[in-house]
Amino acid sequence: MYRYDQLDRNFVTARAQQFRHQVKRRLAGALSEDEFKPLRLQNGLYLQLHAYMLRVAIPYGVLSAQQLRGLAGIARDFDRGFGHFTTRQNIQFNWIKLVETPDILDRLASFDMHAIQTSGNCIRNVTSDPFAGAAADELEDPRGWCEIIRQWSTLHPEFAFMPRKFKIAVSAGATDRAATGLHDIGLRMVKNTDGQIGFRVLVGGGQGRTPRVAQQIASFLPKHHLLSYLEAILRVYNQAGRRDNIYKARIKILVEAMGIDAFRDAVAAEWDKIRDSAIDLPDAERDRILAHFAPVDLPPVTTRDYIDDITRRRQADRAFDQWMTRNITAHWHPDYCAVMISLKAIDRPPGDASAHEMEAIAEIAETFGQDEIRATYEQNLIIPHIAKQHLPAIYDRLAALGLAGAEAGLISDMIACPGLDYCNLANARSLPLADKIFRRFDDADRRADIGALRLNISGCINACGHHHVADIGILGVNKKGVEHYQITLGGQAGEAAAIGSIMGPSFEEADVPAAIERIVDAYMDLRHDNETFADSLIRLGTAPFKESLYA
Amino acid sequence: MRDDVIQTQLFDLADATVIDAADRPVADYRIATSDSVADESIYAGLGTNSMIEISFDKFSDGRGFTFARRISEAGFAGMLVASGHVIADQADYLRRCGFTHADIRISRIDDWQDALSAIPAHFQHMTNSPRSRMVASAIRRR
Repeated sequence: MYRYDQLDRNFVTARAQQFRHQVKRRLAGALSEDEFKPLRLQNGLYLQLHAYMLRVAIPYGVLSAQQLRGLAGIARDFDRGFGHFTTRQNIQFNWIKLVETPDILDRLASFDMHAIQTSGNCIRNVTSDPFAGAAADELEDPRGWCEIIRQWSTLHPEFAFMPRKFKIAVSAGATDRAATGLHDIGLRMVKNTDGQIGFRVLVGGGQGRTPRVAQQIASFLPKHHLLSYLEAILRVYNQAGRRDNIYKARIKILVEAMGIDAFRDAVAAEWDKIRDSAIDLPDAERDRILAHFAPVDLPPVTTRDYIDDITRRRQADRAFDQWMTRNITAHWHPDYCAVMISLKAIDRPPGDASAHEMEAIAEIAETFGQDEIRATYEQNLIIPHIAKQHLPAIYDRLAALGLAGAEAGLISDMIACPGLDYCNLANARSLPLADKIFRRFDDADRRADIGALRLNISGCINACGHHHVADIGILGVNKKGVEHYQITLGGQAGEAAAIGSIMGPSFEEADVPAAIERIVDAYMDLRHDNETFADSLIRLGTAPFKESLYA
Repeated sequence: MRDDVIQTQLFDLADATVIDAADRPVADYRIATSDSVADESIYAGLGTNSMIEISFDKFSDGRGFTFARRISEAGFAGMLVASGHVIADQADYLRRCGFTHADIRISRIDDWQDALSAIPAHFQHMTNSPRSRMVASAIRRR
């Protein structure tokens, strides 16, 4: 992973000091709230219903064990003992005091982290495949390019006051695990007919109240042009994006209004002026950054006795067997795997981890996992490099912590936004509903039998819970002052990104778990062998599911 | 009602000094952030004594930053002034986009001076404004 040098450290330390000064000026009245707002937002500080929330950047989801311990310390010392991992691979602390924020930023800088550009109308934390550098199906490790984008976008002087926020995702796997089709810019690493690796560039994706799947603007962009091409896109957007209506300010609206072909031409005209300029990174600096992402040096495995040990344990221990089936992912090294730690359980808001749990996970990564942890889009954690011989020991440790749920990819692996419990934009609560649905499906064997099924919950149309791109999406709406929930079916975040369709009239909260169960039961009746929920939906259309939903 | 007039002066983003009000030059061109800059090359041939003012309707209207970069990169060699609603916290961004001056309330000069030295490094190529005297100072490892 990328390791800071003195320049990087001085930078984040100075940034924290700058914010301390800005808070002082705000409190003294030298800055109006209007002027202070973008400054605090671009340092990750967001005002929620009951308190400030601090969103800390986890660049493309990569954390060292030491950094996870540091975050645990912040949860303990400045919050109520918890952190909340988000769909953009970041972590949020929900009970923050404004006056303590400079101290938190100092603390973050002490372990090479920051909260820069995790909010506000700027380029946000770049996201990527949480299995990057470990995945068996990867063209090359995308993290080096993510880090290049992170550095280039950090305090970029031209793009700190754009019409609206701007999100970039990079994926290099054979399948898209970074939802690139749902970002302002999506970058897929691809090989061209000459065998060179570059980027397929997508633009204009996003969720919110106007969900759009991104369109292709370039089929192959050579790597060395990446930054100048990104700048050309951003220049067009910064000048022509709408600033009169916050709901029409994202680049997806501009791309749609211009049409992808006219937008592509406008970008080409800007790019012509800067494509061979010093905006693109000099080779030496590019190589310096990419060198941090050389394939991880994994200790050789001397005996394969573990294969029999694991087989026996799987036969004897059903919970372990399910965990092996759901939460273990193939690694490019045949004796290694990636381990998913599910942050989904009854009585646990999706994505939450306590300080104690974060420290225990850090210890597992230190003992068995090359000191590395990843945060995922689905609000879970991954230890990406684990020698398979350690799996039983790791499982036992996780089980003792209550973190061995075999939930990865199942109906229980819900994404949910903070909802009306925290957020002043929300129409309805998300977290209690997630818990009620989990309880409805409280039998682990039943969940495993249902199989892969993505269920996401958003508390309002801003869609932070990604309900648009779930097999079953739930959207909180306010109907005459009462929390109601709409249900959508057929969304997809991955390769064939698609927006789900609204089924019909909404439900009161108490009726939602049963409504979900009727959809699931219909699937169980209708499915063919080995057919996932998504496949059944494609084969049959939404009609039979809708019929059961309103039966 | 003279008291209602807010006194502003041009603050030099390169050396943190101000130009006396009496010596204040007059802009040859004035562009509002709500305008559009169709062709920046028309400014390329202007001499070092010329002045373009980009007036921010609102400090959060970031179009002015892109205008400045395009005009600077096209080869404009004169004074490029950020006026209207700009705040001290934007000083470093303005400078790095090619602005040579900001039109500031003189009572805020301490904040502007502090803001220029707040961040010791940056990660982007900087627009090479001929008047800027800090180009070489901090371009990261390039």
